[in-house]
Amino acid sequence: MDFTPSPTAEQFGDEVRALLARVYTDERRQHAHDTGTMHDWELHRAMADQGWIRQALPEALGGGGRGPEELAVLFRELELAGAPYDGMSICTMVASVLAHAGNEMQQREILPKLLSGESLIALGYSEPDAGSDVAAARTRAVRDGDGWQIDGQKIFTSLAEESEWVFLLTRTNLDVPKHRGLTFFLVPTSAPGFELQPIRTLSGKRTNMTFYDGVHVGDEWRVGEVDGGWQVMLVALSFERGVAGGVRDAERLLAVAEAHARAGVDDDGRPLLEQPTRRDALARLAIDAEVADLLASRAAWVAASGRLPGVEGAASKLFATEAFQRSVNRLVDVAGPAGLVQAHAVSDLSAFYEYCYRFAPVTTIYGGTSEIQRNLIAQRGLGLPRGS
Amino acid sequence: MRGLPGLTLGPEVEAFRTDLREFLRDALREPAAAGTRDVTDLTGWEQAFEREVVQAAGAAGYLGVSLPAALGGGGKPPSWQAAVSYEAAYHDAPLIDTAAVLVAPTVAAFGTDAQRDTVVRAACAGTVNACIAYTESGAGSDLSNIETTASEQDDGGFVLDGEKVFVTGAHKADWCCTITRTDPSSTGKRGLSMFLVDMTTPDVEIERIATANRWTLSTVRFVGARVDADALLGDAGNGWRQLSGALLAERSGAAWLGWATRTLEALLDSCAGTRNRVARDALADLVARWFAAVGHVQRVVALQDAGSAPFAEGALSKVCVTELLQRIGRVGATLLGPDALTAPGWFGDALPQWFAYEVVERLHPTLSVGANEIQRTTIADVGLGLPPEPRT
Amino acid sequence: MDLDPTDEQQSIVDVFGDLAESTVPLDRLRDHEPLGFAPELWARLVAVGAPGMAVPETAGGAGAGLLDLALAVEALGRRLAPAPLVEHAVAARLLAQVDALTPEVLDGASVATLALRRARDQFARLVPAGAVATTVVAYDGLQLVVLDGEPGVHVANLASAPLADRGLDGARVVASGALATSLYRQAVDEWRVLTASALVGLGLGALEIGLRYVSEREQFGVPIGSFQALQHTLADVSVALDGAQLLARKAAWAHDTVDDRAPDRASELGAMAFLFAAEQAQRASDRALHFHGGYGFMEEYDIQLFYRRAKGWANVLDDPAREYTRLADLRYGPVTATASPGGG
Repeated sequence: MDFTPSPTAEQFGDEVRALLARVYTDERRQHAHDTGTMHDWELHRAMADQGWIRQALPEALGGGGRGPEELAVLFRELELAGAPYDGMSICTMVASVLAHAGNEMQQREILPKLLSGESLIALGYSEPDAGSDVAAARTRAVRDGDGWQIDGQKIFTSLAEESEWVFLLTRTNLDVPKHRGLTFFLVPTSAPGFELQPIRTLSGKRTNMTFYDGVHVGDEWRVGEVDGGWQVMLVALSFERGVAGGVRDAERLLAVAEAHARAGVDDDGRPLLEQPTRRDALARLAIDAEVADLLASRAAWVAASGRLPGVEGAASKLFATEAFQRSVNRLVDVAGPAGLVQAHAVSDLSAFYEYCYRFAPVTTIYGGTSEIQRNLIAQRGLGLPRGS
Repeated sequence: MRGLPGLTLGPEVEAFRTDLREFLRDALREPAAAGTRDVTDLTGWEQAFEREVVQAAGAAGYLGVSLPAALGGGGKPPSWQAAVSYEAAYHDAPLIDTAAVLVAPTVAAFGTDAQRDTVVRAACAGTVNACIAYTESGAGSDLSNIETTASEQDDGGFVLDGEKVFVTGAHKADWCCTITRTDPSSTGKRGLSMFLVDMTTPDVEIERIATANRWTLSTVRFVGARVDADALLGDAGNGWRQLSGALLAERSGAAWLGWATRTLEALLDSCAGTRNRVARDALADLVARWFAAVGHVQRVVALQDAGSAPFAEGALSKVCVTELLQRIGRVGATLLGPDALTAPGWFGDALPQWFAYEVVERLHPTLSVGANEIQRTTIADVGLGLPPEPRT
Repeated sequence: MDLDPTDEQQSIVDVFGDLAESTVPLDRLRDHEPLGFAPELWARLVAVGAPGMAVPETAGGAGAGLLDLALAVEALGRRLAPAPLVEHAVAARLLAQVDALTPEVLDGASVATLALRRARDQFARLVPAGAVATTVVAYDGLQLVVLDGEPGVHVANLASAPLADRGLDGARVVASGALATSLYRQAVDEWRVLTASALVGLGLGALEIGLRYVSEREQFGVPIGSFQALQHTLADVSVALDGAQLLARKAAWAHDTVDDRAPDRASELGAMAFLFAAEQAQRASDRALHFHGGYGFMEEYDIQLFYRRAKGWANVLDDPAREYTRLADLRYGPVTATASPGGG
């Protein structure tokens, strides 16, 4: 047993930090803050130029070079820098699926554009009536000559406004149990009948509603078997390998809150870092952040050992996001009225609390709600019986 | 902090409470109380002393204050009984799990005249002990899953077979109020009937079993125990409905609040003037929760006085008060440091020993009288109108 | 990075687990209450060399690290083993550093312990293992002292642990001044790290019992473990215990792996591991007990044994809230300005 990061992971961490320092400047950070975008093309392409997207693919699929520990480092550094990483993580995940299960056209036309950082793709899973129960998707795809006609609506199609395609989950069969009548398609966002409508979220970040009104795609845009969508979904999940980000918010909050407390003074001129309640809150957050880091490391370690970190990934996500919410609540309280203030400049650390308070709620919802993670852990990890 | 304001129940009750408190202080005063500890009993008192206090309370009119006057009770609204339960708990008097509280209301509501005479009148006079035996090993949270049977005989009597668990005070009870299945073909809530069983009946066996805090609960076994027809309490087959009413009455939370108030006051006293920020925060938090708990109890009592059956409000009160009581013990034990790890004493002892007792003792209120999960289900279903959890 | 135990480490887990299981299975634990010490278990620990396991080879020990010892202690904690291996190992390691380690303490013929609270007027209160130890190391007035003498009078306690007050008359000084302070601090740090592992074991043991119970117990015609209210709580408990286990192991590893770039890191991790393990062990045993319903409150059910010890093993050090304050001091330095109103 050894908790030392491997030398390659440490070195990669240095590379990521160096690239972030060079590319993801305060100016870019301010731009993201002002526009609510969840993506930064300069950063994304800089990472693609380094080969990091290709390297994130499993070796058997023509990628390789970076193991799960290094990928965890990549996402860790992106998260700690507050840099957008959703585009990167969706890209590597869908690229892996296409490399594994895509047809000749997809591997020729689409995969290279994802790997080079030229194009993005968005995930079209959730629907207004199919959230946690994603297999209840009702967006229909029906045979239409040689191709398919797609009608329906997706929600939370984040980054669709930057994407060339949507990786779309549809229903192709109504006569079988819900998990067996699903099929995946790649739908160009330029296709006639595709529309999107932006949704502003509580944190200020943008996501979308996407509409599919008689969208026609050829059969070559289908991914995997007809009615085989659930298998594709499982393949996609397996490529996330528990290292696709979303588990470092508490750690980032700790870093920012400590920096803020070290620099600031209260109304009487005493250092913020000497306030007993703040010290107590920071000490508790430091423990939570340490535990979140270890659980994330464990998921990466399990993946690196060639196992599928289903339960470990769920544990990591559940603990990290719940701990983040707890900590945000405490720290916003500790900050007093100052914790309510919104600031325009991202360099103003004190405004981070207010932002976190608005951002924290979604973290236990997206990527599988805490309730779904707990079901998975209880039933697959602890072997408890399914209730209903 | 100089004491908490306590439960407020209206001017008429307040005058009554003043007398009651005087009575309790008198009854439990040294040396009467000295040397009468019995830590194997839930009340913490020796049986002889307990009987003495109960009888004195009966004579003074403090038992069954909210039972009908025609049956020997006080004929007052439910808030009066809440006051008695609260003060009894606060003073650690053995007047909580008595015949007048546990059994008499059910007998008053459903019993025959003879049963009312032998149990309700005697309970109000403090001359009788009784226990309730509902729970079974397979019927805990799912209380309708009763397997104890009472088979009717040709002469109208019944033969009882089965085992009841977690019975408080069975070893000292004269009467046992229980529920059995009288319709052997029935399941669930149908086919159940209540009985009032004389504890001297042959083939009723009692085994005392230690809890984690030394005092005992009993397993009561009916091993082909024969009772006469007049042991049936209420109507045959109507047991579930009768029982539901009895359980509801238990949930105002006044007794738990009495213990919580006294314990919290003692903790506040011992920490008076502390400048330890951690302790001050923790105590302030407890006091805030205590005020919320008082509000819950008062609401339930007011609704009961108005003649309604506060199902969801009772569940809320039970959850709030029992979890407060548990929290006070844990917070106190933590604040007292390693000293509170030493030998558990009893309620009212020197603080470290008292809180060593509390840490274990207050585990059971969140389990008993309907585990808090069951209460939360009630709050969600009845109080909030949420659909039930899907079951297959 | 390698988060799996090596084969050798796995065999430590197995050996100590089997040893506790076969010597004092849970249903025999009450035979050793209220003192909380099973001589036959101690004898077997002595036989496998546990008391001197983590003493440096230069002092005659087996030279294992704290991590190996932590794995052993976790396995013992899982079965609530009534043997003061943590206290003994910590005391022995300390004595070795001041050349005061006797052969009897090294091999475990004499039980040694460490007084966790600073002694006052030559008197150490509530010494863990003080009721069975013949050697007590204490910190008294800037001096590190060692007392050899009969075990103290057992103080009955929540955890059925062998606590005793110990007078220190006749104790000999083995270190003084800055050295004494630093050695004592280090020893208490090691106690925190190892106790964290013991508490992790305790929590996992409680979870195991809780899972078994809710899987077997049926109400409303189904195992109660199929209800989401229970599943979700147990999932949270399990995830937090996994985290506590990783943290306790990392803290032990950090003590074995001195990092010159961050000399206080091991101490800080130890404080974190101790606090988190204590909180999660208490939560695990509390929830597992609660899910037993009324049975959980009965003496004969084993879960209450876990509930008592979860509180007792941790609080013998201090109020956890003061440990959080101490952790903040470690990370941010002590508060130097005049105490703020209400503080202190």
